[in-house]
Amino acid sequence: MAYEKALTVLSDPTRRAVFEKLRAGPLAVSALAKDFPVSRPAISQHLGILKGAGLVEDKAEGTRRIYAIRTGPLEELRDWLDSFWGEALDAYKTALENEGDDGHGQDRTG
Amino acid sequence: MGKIAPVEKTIEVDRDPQTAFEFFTTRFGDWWPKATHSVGADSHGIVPERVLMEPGVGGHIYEVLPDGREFIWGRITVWETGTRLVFSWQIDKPDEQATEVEVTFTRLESGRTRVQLTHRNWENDPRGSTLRDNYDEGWDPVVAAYADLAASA
Repeated sequence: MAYEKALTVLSDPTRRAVFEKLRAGPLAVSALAKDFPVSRPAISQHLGILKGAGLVEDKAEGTRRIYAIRTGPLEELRDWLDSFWGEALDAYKTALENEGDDGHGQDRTG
Repeated sequence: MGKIAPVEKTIEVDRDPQTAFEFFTTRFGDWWPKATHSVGADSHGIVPERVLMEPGVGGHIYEVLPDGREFIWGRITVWETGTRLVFSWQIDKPDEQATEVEVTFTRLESGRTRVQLTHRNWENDPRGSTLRDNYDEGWDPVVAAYADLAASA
């Protein structure tokens, strides 16, 4: 699953910090690099790994390379949780409404 | 730092809020889909013998396997009968890393009740790598993984 790879990749604190920076919007490598105490090639390497996990995408803009977040792996986790709670609430509604018609079924067993 | 938006679910039930609240809480073990939504089922291949929600603030939500093993899911922090319920969601996690679930019960003009569930505070869990060690164990690790990812976002 996509999110497993995303988690592994984000276990690195610098990579996570780079990812957080991009949440505010797309940035060029140079703009990203000036906020970190590591070399620009190091930042490029982190970005390459993030890209490999599908967490960011890049495009050329003149001589610069602009990186932006992709939300796919995050959405996969969200979808899983949505279905988790959706199924739980459906079970609740079904059980509750099968409790008889008096609306005070709490003294019975299901 | 950014926050991951809460997971939100809304349903309507054909009961008044008081009944809906009591059923959600005191009958938790009767309606919760424990065969699919439990640590036992998903991590150990064992359907829990029962799941329970202890009523009132401080009450635990937990499951019990047939062999007596227990897994605590969370603890109730707000108990407003017929209106609002808040509990932590922290399977195998310390308090400071808990996410939070709020359930509200609102009377509609039709006499029905809107039940709204919000699962939030994903950013509370900073201990990603340790949680990831358990990652292949199924259900809980997926929730933990989500919290982990949110902590990074």
